[in-house]
Amino acid sequence: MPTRDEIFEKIKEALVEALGVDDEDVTREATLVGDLGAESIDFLDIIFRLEKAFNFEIDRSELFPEEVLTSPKYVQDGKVTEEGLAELKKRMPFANLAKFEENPRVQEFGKALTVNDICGYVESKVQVES
Amino acid sequence: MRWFWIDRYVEFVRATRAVGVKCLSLGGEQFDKYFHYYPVMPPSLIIEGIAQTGGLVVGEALAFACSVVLAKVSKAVFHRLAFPGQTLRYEIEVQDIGNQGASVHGKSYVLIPRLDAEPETELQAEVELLFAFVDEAEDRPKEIFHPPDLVRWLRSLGVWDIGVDEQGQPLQLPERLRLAELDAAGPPLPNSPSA
Repeated sequence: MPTRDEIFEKIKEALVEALGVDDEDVTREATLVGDLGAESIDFLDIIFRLEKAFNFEIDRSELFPEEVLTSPKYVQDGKVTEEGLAELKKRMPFANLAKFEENPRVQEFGKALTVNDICGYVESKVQVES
Repeated sequence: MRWFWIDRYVEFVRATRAVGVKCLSLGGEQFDKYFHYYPVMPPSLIIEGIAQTGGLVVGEALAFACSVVLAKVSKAVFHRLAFPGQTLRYEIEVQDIGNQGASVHGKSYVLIPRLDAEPETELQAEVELLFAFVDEAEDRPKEIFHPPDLVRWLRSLGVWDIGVDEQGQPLQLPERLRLAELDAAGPPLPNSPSA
């Protein structure tokens, strides 16, 4: 059963390999797109590496719920609606979306996701030693 | 110049691994245009060769139902150059095949011919590649290749001569591609046995 720190270290290793960034760049607060320079195809790479590191299958839509962000039901004029934000929070209980809520433009969503959110997602899938 | 960067498979195991070979000829156009007075195989085309070796294995695992495109070179380390007269041997191992993409690790070995001896083999490059699956939902052509052209290419590479599935049984040409090949061939000649 891994500790929270061990989970973070494995995620850091996956991000360093997938994004070609330095160890010290990968802090819990770093955003994947803004700080670590992830592009859309990198998310697939990250998912493969996390699956291998933690030995469970990852549904991409759990980490990146594109169907919410592209649905006219949840998006109006390029912004996620209140209903859409509620749906995102429901689907992504591991993520801190407070910053995104300040300016919920769809194109900003990728920039909001942090390393800590990825840690939270993995912790929700594996048993963590307290 | 035709965009074929492997000449033949010598091993092809569904969704698992493959070995492809590329014979480097001084007649290849790439040698004229890379370094004009120093004919050397461009590393980018070695990556392309490894990508073709691995991408077709991934495509076959999906019955060629969607297009498999090289999306990312996650890692590429080159240990030495490759020259005309040598043969490159691309060995790939499929790491993952998911819903949206696949990852493949590849190694390139260079076989250096020697007089009265087996070729010397040296590790030439190590590459990690990520492929994305392109489908209709992404508003792009579902098939990059015209199906009969794809079949002709795969036949030329020997996929159905040496390819096996996970149980070691010979690979079969998917029905959709078989019909496309038949369709492209047109009706049989009047005196042919199948007329």
